[in-house]
Amino acid sequence: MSADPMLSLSHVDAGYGETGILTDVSLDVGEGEVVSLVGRNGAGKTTTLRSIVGIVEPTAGSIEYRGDAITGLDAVDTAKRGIALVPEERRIFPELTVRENLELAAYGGATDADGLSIDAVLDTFENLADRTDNDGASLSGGEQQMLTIGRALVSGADCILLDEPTEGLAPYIVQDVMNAVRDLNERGITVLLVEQNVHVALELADRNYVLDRGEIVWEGGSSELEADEDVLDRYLGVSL
Amino acid sequence: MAGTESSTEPESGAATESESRAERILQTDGLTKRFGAFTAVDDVDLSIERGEFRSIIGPNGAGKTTLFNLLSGALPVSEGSIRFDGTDITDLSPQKRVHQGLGRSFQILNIFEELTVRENVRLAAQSVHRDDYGFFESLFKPTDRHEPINARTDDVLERIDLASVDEEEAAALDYGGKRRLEIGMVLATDPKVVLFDEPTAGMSIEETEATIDLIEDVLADQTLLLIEHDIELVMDLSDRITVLNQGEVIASGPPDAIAADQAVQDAYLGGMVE
Amino acid sequence: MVAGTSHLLVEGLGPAFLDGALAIWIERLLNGLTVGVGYVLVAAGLSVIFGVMHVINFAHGELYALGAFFALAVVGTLTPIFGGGIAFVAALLIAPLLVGLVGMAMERFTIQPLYGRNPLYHILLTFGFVIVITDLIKIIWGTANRPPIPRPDVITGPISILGTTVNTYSLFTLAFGGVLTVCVWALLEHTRFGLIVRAGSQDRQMIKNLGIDIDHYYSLVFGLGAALAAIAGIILAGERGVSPGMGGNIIIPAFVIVVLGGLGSFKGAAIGGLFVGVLEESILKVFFSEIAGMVIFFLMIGVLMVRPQGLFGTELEEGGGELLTGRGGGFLADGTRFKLGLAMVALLAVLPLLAGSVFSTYYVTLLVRILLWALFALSLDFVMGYTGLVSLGHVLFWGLGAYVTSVVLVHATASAFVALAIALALGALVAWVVGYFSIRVHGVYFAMITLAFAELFYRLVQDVDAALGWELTGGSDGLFGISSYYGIGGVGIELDEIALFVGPFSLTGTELFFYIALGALVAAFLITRRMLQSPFGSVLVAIRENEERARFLGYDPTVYKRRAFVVSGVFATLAGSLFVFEQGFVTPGSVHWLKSGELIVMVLLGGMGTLFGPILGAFAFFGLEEALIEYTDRWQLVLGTIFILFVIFLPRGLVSLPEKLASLVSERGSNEPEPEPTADIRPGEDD
Repeated sequence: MSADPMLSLSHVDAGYGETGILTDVSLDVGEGEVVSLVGRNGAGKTTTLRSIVGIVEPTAGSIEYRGDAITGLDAVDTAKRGIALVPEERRIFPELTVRENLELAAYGGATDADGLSIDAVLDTFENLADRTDNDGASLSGGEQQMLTIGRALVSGADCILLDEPTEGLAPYIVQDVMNAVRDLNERGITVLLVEQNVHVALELADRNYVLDRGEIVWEGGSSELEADEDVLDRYLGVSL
Repeated sequence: MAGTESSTEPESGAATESESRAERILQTDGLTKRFGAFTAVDDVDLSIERGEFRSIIGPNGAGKTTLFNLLSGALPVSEGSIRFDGTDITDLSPQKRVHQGLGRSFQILNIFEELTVRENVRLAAQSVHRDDYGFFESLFKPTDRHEPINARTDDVLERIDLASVDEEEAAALDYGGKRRLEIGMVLATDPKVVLFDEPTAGMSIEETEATIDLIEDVLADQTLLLIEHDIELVMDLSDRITVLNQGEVIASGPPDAIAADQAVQDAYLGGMVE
Repeated sequence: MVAGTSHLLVEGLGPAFLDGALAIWIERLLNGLTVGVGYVLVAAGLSVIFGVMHVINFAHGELYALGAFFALAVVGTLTPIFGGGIAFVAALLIAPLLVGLVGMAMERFTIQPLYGRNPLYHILLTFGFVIVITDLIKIIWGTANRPPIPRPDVITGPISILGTTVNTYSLFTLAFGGVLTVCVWALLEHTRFGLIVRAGSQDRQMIKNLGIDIDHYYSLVFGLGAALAAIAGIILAGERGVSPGMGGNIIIPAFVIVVLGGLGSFKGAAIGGLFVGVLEESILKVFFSEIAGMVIFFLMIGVLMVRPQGLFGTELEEGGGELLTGRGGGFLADGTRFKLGLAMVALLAVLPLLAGSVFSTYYVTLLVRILLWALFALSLDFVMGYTGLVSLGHVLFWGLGAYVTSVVLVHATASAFVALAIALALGALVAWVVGYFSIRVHGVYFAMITLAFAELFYRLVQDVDAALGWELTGGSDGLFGISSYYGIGGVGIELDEIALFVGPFSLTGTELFFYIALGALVAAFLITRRMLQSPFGSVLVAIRENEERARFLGYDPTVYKRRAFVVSGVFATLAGSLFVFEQGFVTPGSVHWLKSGELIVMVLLGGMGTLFGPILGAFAFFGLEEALIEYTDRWQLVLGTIFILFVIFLPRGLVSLPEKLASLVSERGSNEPEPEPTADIRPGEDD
């Protein structure tokens, strides 16, 4: 990582109501990087993403995006600045068609950049092209995930936060999703990836942060993490 | 597929002499759970002996917690049946299963945060003694005047080492304390079988050891099912281990047999190193 | 319907008569559809507002009435200039626009601050608007009913079609309403606005994540819904006239329709509106007029039980924050509060002694009324504040107590003891049955089903006489001049006939009854408080804290909630029963849904989940009324406004005032808003 990071969290505390979930979380994501955030259930990974886009307001610390403070901005503002959250469980609109889902993303999204056209996205994800008039609810898990990534592409976001994109998907579809993430990155889009599946994270990410009980306990490259059995065992529950 | 359990087929690995004679307290037959097109638990046959310590392991998304949700009644089954202590409980409500002696803990902490530590345990103990009360007693007798429940509450608080903070709000406990309280609540319902879903999740190594010691100590006589990600821990503790992958049982047997099982190694480590 | 048709066929003597029968049917169907179109316009807005914002807008009926009154004003202004016909058309354009603006302002300034709170608070807030708008209308336009607004000649008078004579205004209503409905449908289905609104109704947080500011659209949707209701009001005003009560008359059928069609579904509202219109006007009122009013509530209850999301709706995810109770509000320490309570009871106990000398006996009557309502409010708090069941139909139990007591006293025995015993037993039974059917559905659906049960009873007491053919409940008049004695088998005392002498003071009649009411309230308070410390109550608290955990300790939440509901129902029945002993009459007004609303106002005003808060709330409510009524008949306007402010700024009620003041003092200077739990943030969902 060189120069100033694109997205930077410094000493962020956040939580729901009186219960704090994140403590003193600092992390940087450089432009064009793929960075992973891994950790166990309940470690605070989703909360980290939510505090970046402003669904959860940090109680302390600051968040910067392209040099501007975005701490406490709401979800609409952060999306307009070009940060797209692809939440867990995908959250496509179940009663809108595939095309309507994409149209909606085109209406919203980054204000200073045009994303891909809907047709270009449909070219990229062939499965979706066959099903443009189907309701979102009728798509398979993998297709839904492609649609969420497609939405992010249409919105013109240049930083995408992916929350557990492979959760509950069959292994061969996991491969498709991983390819889609690589494709995003090749288009110059920065990715912050939350994953429970450490294997996926290690394969995709340039750098990794390990989160445990709301604190960053480790950071480093994928090969270092792969070699660190203690961290894998202690914080991630995978032994090699 | 190696070693799916059934009462007629010997397990992969060594079956011991006593096993065929031992009493089975919890049994599932073809247990299946589908969410739409996705099969989370696929035709699982389990057979747990009274007094056994059984661990359930498997990669993320293997269906371990879903299996527990089926056993405890949190989710309805799609197919198959569950027998517990001689009766079919497949269609029983969760609370009735608790009455029969099936207790559970949760992966994410699940206690009454705003009640006192004592009240948390007392509510669990009261559940066991719920039939002691007459109509008027249950409506009007103050809760602290029922000696058997108080005695049981005191006993459990001692055993989980929270007696000194019993009047504090549960929310004020540290993480380990909350986990101990949760175990104490399960203990206080006097279960025959306890389902533990990652009771040590998010604990340091020291806390993990203390918690496992506590479970072994206070629940030594009960039958235990444990979901755990720490394989080493599981190897030391368990009488038998069942390995799930993508909703199916891929192996089941004593720890050493599991450790040597090729299918397990593939499932657990597959995809890790290309 | 089948019976009716065959009847006609048997009686029919030839083709000429069949033509007549057909003509009658066309007329009936047209009547039903005309009424149905009005329903569609009201219900569509109500449903879409719920679907998009999860707001149940009780004030929707008042917006409908406001449409009619604005039209009245426009017509009044323009008729001298342009003549009646054009003025009507102008009103049809201008009035909905104005009402739309009112709706947008309501949403922007009062509802928007409440997003993320439990949907109950929207119900309460909009109920506040019902009170306020009703009174505003009365202030501006008076309380008299007005004749129909003059319409253009083109759409006035009969017209002959297919050998039948029909009303041109009906045809206009059908055509205009139909076209409007199709336009709104097209707007929702085929425009960017509609796409965003539909998406917003499916997942509010996700649409924000896409960078679309859904909040702006909320105001527009609310305005649109309000304008549609206004149009329905104007159309009705052209046919049947304008009256201040018209809003209250439409809102309940509108709820029925929205529930049948599916909360949140536009299609459901459209089909449901026509269906209910035809069912009521063309079938029920013609063939089953005695029970016509009850049938739709049976339907509503049935649909809520079998398919709570309605015919075309999708089930609402249980979002929303918690109910905000007054517990821990810092209202004095427990010990001090107990002493203060004792002192208050002692003070109250002395008051009747001074009546007639120090102050008017009127105040004793007033205090009795307050005590009974305090008892009623306490009963609701036990179930709402401690189990989270928001009953919108609690007036059912008050009404049941009042009616059963009256019926027994009038028809069977004058023994108050017997009447009370029968009322309480029936109260418990009905509470169990209503609880059995209602508690299986959650949240707003529970609120709706309890409302339906109460409305069913409201209809029943009015219609049962006609159905039976003899006087049981006194129909829409009620029962009057009911007397009773305190005893059994003819042996006992009547309060009016005895006097108790305490030193220089004498007590009789109402003054004696005052002590019965006070005793009942104190007893109810002590009993419910004791229950909350019992094994039963401890489970209620556990369920409120964490329902899933309670279930896995072996407690069945449904069973415990139902028991709490029965306890609550019995105390509410007691309050209604005592009301009859004191007043000596009962009318259907005792079961009107507005009373359920006022009850919730009292509970919230005081602070729910505290038992003593609602008692304070009842005193505050009536105290306010008493203080204001000296200056104005329209005291409800002030009350409603105060209530709206409470819902927004002090949802934990009066009992939380000390804490709120303390936090205001300590936070002065810093502009940090109080964090409220919000719907879009669900802690359990993390990772």
